[in-house]
Amino acid sequence: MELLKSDTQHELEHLVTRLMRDKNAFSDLQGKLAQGQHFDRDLWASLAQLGLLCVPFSEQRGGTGGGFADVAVVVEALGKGLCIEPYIGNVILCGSLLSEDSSTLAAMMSGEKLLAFAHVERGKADNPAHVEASAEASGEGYVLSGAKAHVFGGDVADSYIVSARTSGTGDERSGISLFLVDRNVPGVEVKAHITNDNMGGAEVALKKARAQLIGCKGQALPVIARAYDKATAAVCAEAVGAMEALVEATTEYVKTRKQFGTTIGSFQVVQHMAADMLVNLEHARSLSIAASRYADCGDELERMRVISAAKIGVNEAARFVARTAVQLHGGIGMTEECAVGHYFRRLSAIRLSYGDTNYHLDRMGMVEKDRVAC
Amino acid sequence: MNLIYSEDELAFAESIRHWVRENLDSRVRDKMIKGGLVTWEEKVSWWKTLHAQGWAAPGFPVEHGGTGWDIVQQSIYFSVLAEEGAPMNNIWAQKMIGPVLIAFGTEKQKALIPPLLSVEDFWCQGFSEPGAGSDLASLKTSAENRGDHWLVNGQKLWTTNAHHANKIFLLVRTDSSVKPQKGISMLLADMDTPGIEVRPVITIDRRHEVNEVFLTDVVIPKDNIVGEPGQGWDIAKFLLSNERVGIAQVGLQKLLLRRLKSLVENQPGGHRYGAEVRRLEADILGLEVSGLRLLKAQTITAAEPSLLKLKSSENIQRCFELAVDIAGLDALPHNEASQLHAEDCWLDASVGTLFSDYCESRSYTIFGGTSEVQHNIIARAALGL
Repeated sequence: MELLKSDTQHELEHLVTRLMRDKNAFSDLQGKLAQGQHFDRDLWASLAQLGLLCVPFSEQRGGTGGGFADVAVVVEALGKGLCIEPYIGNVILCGSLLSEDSSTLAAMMSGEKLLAFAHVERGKADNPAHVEASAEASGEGYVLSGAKAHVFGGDVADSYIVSARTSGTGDERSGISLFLVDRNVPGVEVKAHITNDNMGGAEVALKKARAQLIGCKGQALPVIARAYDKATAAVCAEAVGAMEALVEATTEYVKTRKQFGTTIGSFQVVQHMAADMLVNLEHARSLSIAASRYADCGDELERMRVISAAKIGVNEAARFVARTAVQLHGGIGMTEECAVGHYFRRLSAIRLSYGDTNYHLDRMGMVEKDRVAC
Repeated sequence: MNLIYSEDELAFAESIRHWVRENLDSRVRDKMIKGGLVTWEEKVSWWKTLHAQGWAAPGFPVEHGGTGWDIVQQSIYFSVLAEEGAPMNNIWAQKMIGPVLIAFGTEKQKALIPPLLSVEDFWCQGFSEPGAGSDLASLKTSAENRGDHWLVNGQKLWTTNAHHANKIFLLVRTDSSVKPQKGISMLLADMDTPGIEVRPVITIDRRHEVNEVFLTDVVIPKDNIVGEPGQGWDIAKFLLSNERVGIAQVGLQKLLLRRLKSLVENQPGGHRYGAEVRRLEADILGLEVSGLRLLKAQTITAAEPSLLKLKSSENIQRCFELAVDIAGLDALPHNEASQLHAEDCWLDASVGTLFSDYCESRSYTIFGGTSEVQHNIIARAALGL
């Protein structure tokens, strides 16, 4: 039950699937994690070599020209392959914040440079306009002060894109600007952590750190909102890939696992749970398709409505599919040696990332009010 | 801005919408939107309006009264009609007996198609029996071969609109010596044939829509059989597979979503339910895309319609459950029994017949294959369990 995929999309899907099989098979991933390795430079270099870090950008910069649908195909396959490298943070989020001719973007696309978006401040993830970090003009550039939390991929980033106020206070919508900050300049303090789904993150403290303005001063909020919407659409696709892996693994498992002298998949109660996993997966896939269609949409309110709706539904499906996969695997599903638990944690983390369900429910409500006001 | 449909599809939807707004009786529309019981006469009158426009059965081949629209356009037609508050379609003609007569009917039987579309004839479906619901193949109503006629004895149940119908298509057992599925045949009969008796079944919505049909020594002419003796099961399966268009029921859900949003705005404390309504809105979006995926899929298995039916039926039930919760005590007075009408009733008009509609919505996970049967189909056809 597919809306037709283009030839490019089939190629992209095979490319990523092969890469995941060759370099990120579950046994490989376990090996990396056993060595405390939460970012595989070799895998990242392959993503760069295959042109996968350029997918969303214009064709002259190495992009596929297929719009966001191509991005979704790549991210879905990465999700299915349990990729823990910060693809969405670099390619989608930071990639949408930078202009296409920026040398930083070129360095990200070639794999030379890793980026991370340092925007959220502790306890304030529910309002993208809540930025307290401040920027002061100094000489040719700016110096930034403030504290950023939940910086996905912030552990390995070479540079950060940081949001800070050039004017205004609290959660005022204007006055927010974007800056590029090198990790190595004085005044940047990075406290790295790994997340529960084995990805890397960081808290970034800035104490008069030298920074370079990107884009229009004071006008960054809509740019940030657009970038987050794309990242949200992308993470929906990633969740679909992860759910697909769980449906396949669980179906296979219940066909082989024997109890009471027969395969557990012959029990109707197990069949119905497996069927409900598929119902949820396909529903999430439809919502992910909708989110992809609207990721580049110029009608801001409609874009926000659809992407929020998609994330709400995907979150719901992700919880059901993840918990049912563990349940049907029984004890083995609870163990670290089984891939199911890894997908469970990733899907649980996706629920919380790029806006949890309540955030998006509130946002749909605000969109509706704004529309009535129009 | 809508990026789910193509520009042509959106233009098509607008043309249908425009026509419905011009041609649908506003009193009927209000009942559908605010909650009110649409009468049989109002339904028939609407079906006749559609017929006059040439839209009685868009999916039929053009020579049998179809419109020549592609499958997406047909789906848009159903969706827009429902969303604009049109009464339910004449699905008995469009999806049940009509396609069967086209595919299996003799020339004489095909002559029944024009009056079917003009609603001169209304057909009810005699499939289910007291002992044959989900397990339809176990049906017992028998038809004995008496040379120039069939002699039919038995009982049908859940026969929707049998009390309005002048014709019935029946599944009967013509051979009890073979495997249950192989001994079933389909017969056509006039409802005024001696020996056919209709008794009402009042459902939990306190309405009369379904019936029991008793068949006692009913004489049915020999050539009223559809297809061959023993082909009834295959014909029934063909009939039940005509569900690809409109199975997501998105139009109805969009209508219910409007009703819910109006309740959130107008009922005391309604705002507490805003987030729940938005969750439903999210699921309706997913169903809309799923519906399109199903229509545009090149090949489908038995599982895909089941995936959609499960989700859409549960969603419709959630809509009504939520609406009743928001309406609170205002949902309790029984408008129909108290002869209250939406326009002159002291209640908020958006509550209307809500409670009855909510009761009726329990049937969505039962008819057309219960949710349990749909789960079995998915497990078998999609997962190989």
